[in-house]
Amino acid sequence: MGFRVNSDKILEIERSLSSLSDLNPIQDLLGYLNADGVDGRVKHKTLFVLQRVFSTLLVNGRILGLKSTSDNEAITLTKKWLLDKYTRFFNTLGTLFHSTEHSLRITSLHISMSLLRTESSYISNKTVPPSPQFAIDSFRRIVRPLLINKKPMFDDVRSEWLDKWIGKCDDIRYFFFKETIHLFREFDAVSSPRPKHLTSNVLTLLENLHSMPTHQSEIDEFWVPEIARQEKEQVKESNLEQSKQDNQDWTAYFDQMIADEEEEKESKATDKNSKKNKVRDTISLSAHRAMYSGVWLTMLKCPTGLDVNENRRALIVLHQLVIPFLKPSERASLADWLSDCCDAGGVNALLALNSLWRLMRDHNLDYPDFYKRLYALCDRNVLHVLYRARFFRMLDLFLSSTHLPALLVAAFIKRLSRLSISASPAAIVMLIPFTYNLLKRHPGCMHLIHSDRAVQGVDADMYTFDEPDPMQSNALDSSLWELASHQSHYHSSVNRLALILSQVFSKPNFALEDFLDHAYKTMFDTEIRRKIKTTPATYDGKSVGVFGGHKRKLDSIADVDEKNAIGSIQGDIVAQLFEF
Amino acid sequence: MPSQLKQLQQTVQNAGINKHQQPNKRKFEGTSTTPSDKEKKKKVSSDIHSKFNKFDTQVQRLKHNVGGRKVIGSLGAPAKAKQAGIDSRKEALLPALQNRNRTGQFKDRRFGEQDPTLDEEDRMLERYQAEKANTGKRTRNNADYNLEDNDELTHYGQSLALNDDFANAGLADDDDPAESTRFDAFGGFGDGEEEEPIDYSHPDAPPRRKTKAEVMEELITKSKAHKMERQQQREDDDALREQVDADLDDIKGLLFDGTAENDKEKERKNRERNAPYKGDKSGNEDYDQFVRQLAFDRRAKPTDRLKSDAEVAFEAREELEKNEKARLLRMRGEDDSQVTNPTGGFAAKRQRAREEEEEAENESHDDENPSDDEQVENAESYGIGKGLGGDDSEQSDDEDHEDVNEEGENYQDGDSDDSEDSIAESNEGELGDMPQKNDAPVENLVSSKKKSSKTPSNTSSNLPYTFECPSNHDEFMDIVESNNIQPSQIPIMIERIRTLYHPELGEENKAKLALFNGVLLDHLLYTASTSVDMKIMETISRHIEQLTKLLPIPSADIFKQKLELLERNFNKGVSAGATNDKSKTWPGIPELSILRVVGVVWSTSDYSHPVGSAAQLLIGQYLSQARIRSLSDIIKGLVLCGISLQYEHYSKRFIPEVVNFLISSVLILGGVGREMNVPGQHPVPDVGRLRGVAMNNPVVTPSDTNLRDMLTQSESNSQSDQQQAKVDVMDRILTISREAAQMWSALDGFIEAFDPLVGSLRMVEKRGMLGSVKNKTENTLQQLGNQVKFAKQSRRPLRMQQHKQIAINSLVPKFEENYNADRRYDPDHDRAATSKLKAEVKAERKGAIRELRKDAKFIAGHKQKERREELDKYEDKMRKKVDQLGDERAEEKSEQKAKAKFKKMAGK
Repeated sequence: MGFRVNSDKILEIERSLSSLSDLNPIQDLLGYLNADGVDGRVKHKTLFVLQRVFSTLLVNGRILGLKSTSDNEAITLTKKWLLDKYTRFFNTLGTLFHSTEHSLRITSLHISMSLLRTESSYISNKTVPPSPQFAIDSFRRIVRPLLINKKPMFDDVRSEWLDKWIGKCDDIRYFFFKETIHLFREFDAVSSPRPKHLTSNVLTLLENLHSMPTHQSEIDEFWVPEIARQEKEQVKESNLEQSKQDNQDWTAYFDQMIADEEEEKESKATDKNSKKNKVRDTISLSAHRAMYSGVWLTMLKCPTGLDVNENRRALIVLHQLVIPFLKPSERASLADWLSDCCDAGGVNALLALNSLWRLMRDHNLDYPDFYKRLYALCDRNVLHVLYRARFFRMLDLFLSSTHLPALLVAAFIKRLSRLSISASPAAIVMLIPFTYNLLKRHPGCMHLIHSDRAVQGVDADMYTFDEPDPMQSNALDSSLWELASHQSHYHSSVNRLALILSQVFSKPNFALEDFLDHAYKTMFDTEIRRKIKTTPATYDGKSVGVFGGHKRKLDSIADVDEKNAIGSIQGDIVAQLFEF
Repeated sequence: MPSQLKQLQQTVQNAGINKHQQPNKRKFEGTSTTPSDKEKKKKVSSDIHSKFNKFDTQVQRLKHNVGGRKVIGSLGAPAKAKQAGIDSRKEALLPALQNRNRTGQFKDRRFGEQDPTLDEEDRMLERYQAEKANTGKRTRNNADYNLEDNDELTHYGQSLALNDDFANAGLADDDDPAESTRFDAFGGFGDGEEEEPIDYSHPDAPPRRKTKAEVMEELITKSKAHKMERQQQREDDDALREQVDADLDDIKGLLFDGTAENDKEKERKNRERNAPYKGDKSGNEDYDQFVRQLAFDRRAKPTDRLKSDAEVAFEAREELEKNEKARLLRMRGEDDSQVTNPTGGFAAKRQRAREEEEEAENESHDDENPSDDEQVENAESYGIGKGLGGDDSEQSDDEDHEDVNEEGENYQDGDSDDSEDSIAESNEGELGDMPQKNDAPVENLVSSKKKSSKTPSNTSSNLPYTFECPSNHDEFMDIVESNNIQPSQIPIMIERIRTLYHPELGEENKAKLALFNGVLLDHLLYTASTSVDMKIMETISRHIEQLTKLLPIPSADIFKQKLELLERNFNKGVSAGATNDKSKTWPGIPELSILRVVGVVWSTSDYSHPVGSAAQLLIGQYLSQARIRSLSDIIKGLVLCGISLQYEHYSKRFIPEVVNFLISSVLILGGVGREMNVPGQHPVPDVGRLRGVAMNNPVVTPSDTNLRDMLTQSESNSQSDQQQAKVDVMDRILTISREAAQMWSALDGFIEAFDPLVGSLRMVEKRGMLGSVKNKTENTLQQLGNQVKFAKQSRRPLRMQQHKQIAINSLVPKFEENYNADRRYDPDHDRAATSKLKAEVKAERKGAIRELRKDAKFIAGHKQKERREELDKYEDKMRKKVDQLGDERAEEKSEQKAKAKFKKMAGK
C-alpha cells in the first residue's frame, strides 16, 4: 500500500471506531500493520488501537457468542466478518513476533496474550453454567508463529515469553506444552518434515524453564482469571481427594488425557466435555508433568532425527528433567533411542551415558555388553571433548565396584593412559588421580606400573589398542609408559602430579572432583595470577638471530665472536628454520 | 664406746685446737696467728660442733627408699638455713627496707672500710693498691707514652728513690722518715703506724707477715726495676730507629714498582736531594707525605696487572659452570636456598624434617572433611588451581550442578570432530554479534598513531642526543615522529635513551627503565605487525633482554600482561568459532614474536617459571585448540612448535601438543582423508577436511623464504606460490619432527608418541604425492622408524614402585642399661624439653613463693623487733622517770622526816 499514514490518522480512526457503529476502519488498520513502509511508531499505535477495539468488541459479545439465540442474519454476518478480522489480527500479531523492532515484538506478544485473556474470560462466563474455559484456537495462533519461523526465536521474545507466561502462569505453560505436542505431531511424517527452528526453539525454552512445579501447591498462578477462580474452589475439593489421587498412578491421568486429545483431534469440534476436562487438568500437578514429558518424547521421536547439536542439547538435560517422570512404556522407547545415540559414538554417546545410567539404576534397564560399549567410547577424542569431565564422573562411577575383574579395569586404565600421550594438560591432570584411585581400588592392576616380569622388547607390551573387547586386550601384560612419560611433562603441575605414581602408594584416594574441571584457561589463569615471589631467572645463553635468518648470515658474518655465538645456539630450531 | 663427752674431748684434741692445752705459748704467739689460722680453727671447731650436735640436722625418712638415688632435701639443717636466710635478708632486704622512704643515702666508699675481717695493715694495703690503680687509670694514656716516667716521689725536690738503698739493706726502722713521708704523701693517714702492733723483738720467730713498710719497699723496688728496663728498651729502640731511618733512602727505590718509578723518579730524587730524612720537623712532614704517597701507590697496584688468558678462560668456565648448575637445579625444581646449604648440619636437617612433618599434618588436617569416605588428596596441593568447578566442586554426586559447570565450560575447550560442522552452523546467524578480536595494545598502537607513512625526508645527521624517557608507546611514537627519526635510527635512539636513564644516574631511573622496557616490547609488537624490520626487532629484543636482566620482576609483569592479553584474544577467537575462517585464533607475527622473545629472554627451562610456564601453556593451548583451516595456520603452528621446542631445549620436557600438531599437519599435507584408517590414537579433528592444502607432486625445492613471505605465499591464489609454500612447510615439518624425536627419545612413552607420526609419514609417503620432498621424507621416516624400533627393542616393563622397605614400628619397650629414676628417658625430644622446662618453671615458682613468704616473715619480725625496742625504750624512760620521782619523793620525805625529827628534837 502506497499511502502514508501518521499517528494523527490513527487517532482519528480510533475516534471514529469509538462508537463501534462503523467497523470498516478495522480493515484499514489491519492493512497498515501489514504494510511495509509504515513507521514502527505508527504500527505500535495501531496495535494498541486494535487491541482496544477488539477487546471492547469481545466484551460486548460482538465477535463470539452463542449462535442459537435470536440473531438475525446481519448480526451473524457481522460476527463472521469480525471473527475473520479478529483471526487476521492474531495472524498479523504472529508475524510481528519476528519483527526487526524490539518494541514491536514485545508489544505484539503482550497484546495477543491480553486479548487471549479477554477472550477466555468471555467464553468462560458465557458457558452455562459458567465454567473456566481457555481460548485454545487463539492460543494456537500465538504459539504457532512463535515456534515456527524462518528465523530462530528472538532472545527478547523468548525471555519475555519465559518470564511472563511459561515460567510464571501455570495454565499458559500447560496449554503451551499441549500445543507444542500438537505441532510436533503435525510434522511427524517423513513427507512433512519439521520446520527448521521448531525443535531448537522448543529446546531453548525447555532448557531455560526452571519453574516446573514440583508440588501441587505450587500451581497457583494463572493467566486467565476464571481458571484461577476455579482453582481456588477446587483447592478444598482437591485437598480431600489428594490422598486418593496420590495413590493412583498418575500416568493413568496422562493416558486419559492423551485419549482425550486424540478424540478432540478427530472431532475437531468444540466438545464441551473434553474442554472442561482439559481446563480442569491445568490445576493437576500430574497432568503438568505428563505434558512436560510428553513434549520431550514427541520432540525426540522425530522420524528424520534431530540434528547433532539438538541431540546433544537434549541429552545434556534429559537425565534430570525427563527421565524421572516417564512411565514404563515410554522408558523403553527412550532407552532404544539412547542406546542408538550411545552406539553412534562421539560426544552424544558420552552424554547419553548419564541417562542410560539413570534408567539402569532406577528403572532396571538391561543393557548388554555395557563395559564393552563403554570401552569403545574411550576413543581418540574422548580426552579432548568438551564433556570429558561429565564422562569421567560416570566412568568413575561405573568402575567404582571392587568386584570388577582386574583385567577389565586394567584395560580401561591402559587405554586411557594410551590416550593421555596426546592429551592436554587439563586432561592429564584429571587422568592421573583417576588412575591412582583405580590402582588403589584394584591392587591387581599394580602390574601396570610395577612389574617384575623379566622381558624386554616387544614382549613387554602385549596390549592391543584396537581390540574391542577389554577382556581380550592383554592390558595386564603392559605398563603405563605413557603416564610415566608425563613425569617429564612441560607443565610443572602435571609433572608433579605424575610423580605420585612412582611414590609409595600410601596416599588416600584423590578427590576426583577437584581434578575434573580444569582447562587450559583455568590453568593459564592460575599460572598468570601466581605472585612472583623470587626473582625469575633469565636466559643464560646469548641470543643472536632471535628472529632467525642467520643460516644464511652465518656465512657472511666476519666477526668470529658472533659466529661462535650463533654456532652455540644450534639447538635453537626457530633460528634455524624461520626468519620472521 | 666412750661417752659423748669423751668422744668430744678426743676429737678436739686430735684437731689440735684445744685452748687449754698450751695457754702459755698462746700468750706469746697472740698476734702472730694469721687470720687464715683463725678461720681454719673456727671451721674445724664448727665442724666438730655440727658433727656432735645432731639436733641441728633434720633427716627426712624416705618411705620407699631405692638404692642408688640421691634425693634432694632428704638431709637438712633447718636452723642453719634459717640463720643464713635471715643473714642474707639482713644484708639485702633490711637496708632496702630502711631506705625505703629515703631519696638519698650515704655510701661509704672508703677502701677496705666495709670489710670487718681485714686488719688495719691489710686495709692500708688495699687503700694503696686502689689509689695506685686509680692514678694508673687516670694517667694511663700518658703513662704509656711517657718515656720520662715523671711520677717519682720527691721531698723538697729531692728524690725519695735514694732511700731505696736503706730499704734494701733490710733495716727495720720504725722511725724511717721516708716511710712516714710516703704515707703523708699518699693520703695523710700518718698516725696509722702508731696503731700497728708490730713486734720485731723475736728475730728467731717463725716467718712472720711482712710489715707494710717492707711491702712498700718491695713494690718500689720492683717499679724501679721496671722503669730501668723500660728506659733501656727505649734507648735500644731509638738506636734501631735511627738506623732504619738512615737506611730508608736506600730501600725507597724498592718500594716503588717499576712502572710507577719512571714518571715519579725524577720528582722523588729531587725531593731526596732537597730534604733527606733527618728527623727534624720538616723532615717529618716530608716523610708523612712520602708514606701517604706510598700507600696510594700500593693500593692502586693490583689493577695494573692483567689476568692471563688462562685465568680469564678459567673464570669464564667457572662462571658458566656455576650458571649451568643453578639452571639445572631450577630445571629440576629444587629450591635455590636449599641448594646453597645442602647439608646444613643436624639441627637444620631435623628442622626440615619437622617442617615436612608439620606440612603433612596440616595436609591431613585440611582434608578432614572429604566429600567421600576417605578421599583426602585434593588438587590444591599440586598447584593446579581451582579449575572451573570452583566452589561447586564438592557436590560430586549432585548432578544438578553439572549443567551449570558444563555450560560455563562451553567457551573454553575444543570440541570433537563430530561437532565441528554443527558448531559452525549454529554460529552462522550470530557471527555479527560475536566480539571481534581486539588485541588491545597492538591494534591500539597501530590505530592511534597512523602508521609512519610519511617517511621523514631528513637525513640521519640531525638525530637529537637527549630524549624524554617514554612511558608508553604513544610517547615513543611521538618522539619518533616529532624528531623525524627514521626506522634505521631507532636502535641508536634506544641506545641513547638507555644511556641517558642509566639506573646509576638517578633514583627514579629504574622505574623509568621498567616502563621503557614495556614500551620496547610494545614497539617490538608494533614493528612486527607493521613492517617486519628484522634489524630493529633484533635490537629491541636485545635491549629487552638486557633490561630484563637489570629489572627482572617488573619485566616479568610486563610479559605476563602481554601473555594474558594474547590468551584473552585467543579465547575470543575460539568463541567466534574455532573452525570459522574469519575468527582469529592462530597467532600472527606479533604474537609469535613475543613468544619467541620469551624464549630468549627468560630461562624457560625452569621447572616452574612465572613467564616461561605461562607462555608454554599458551602455546599448548594454541596448538591444541586452534583448528587448522588453511596452510598459513599450519605455518603458524609450526613456528609455535619450534618455539616451544626451543623453550624445552635444555630441559627436554615433553609437549604432547607438538606431536599432535605434527601428525595432523603431516596427514593434512599428505592429503589423507578420514575414511582412511588414520594410525595411532592422536586426535586429528581437521584431517580430511582440508583437501586444498594437500600436496600434489610439487616440483619446486624448499627455500629459505621468510615467515611473512611464506604466509603471503600460502594465502595467494597463484598455484606456484602455493606449491612453494607447501614444499617449505613440509620440509620444516620434517626437520621439526626429527628434532622433536631427537629431543624426546629418552621418554618412556616415546613409542606411543612417535609411532603414530611414523605411521602417518609412511601413509603419506605411500600416497606418493610428495614430489620434491620425497627424499627428505624417506630419510626422516628412516630415522624416526629406527628410533622407534630401537625404543621398542629396549622396552622393559615399568618398575615405578621400587621403594626402600619401611620398617614396622617396634612396640618392644626400650631397655636402659644404667637406669636412673631421676633421669628422664623420654624418646620424644620435644616433649622431654617441654617437661624439663615445665619442671623448672614449677620449681622456680615454688622457690619464689617461698622466698616471698620468708621475706614477709622477716619483715614482720623486724617490725616487731622495732616495736619492742620502742616499747622497751619507753618503758625504760618511764621507769627512769618514776625512779627519779620516787627518789625525789623519798628525799622529800626524808627531809620532812628530818625536819620533823629536828622539830621534835628542838621541841623537846
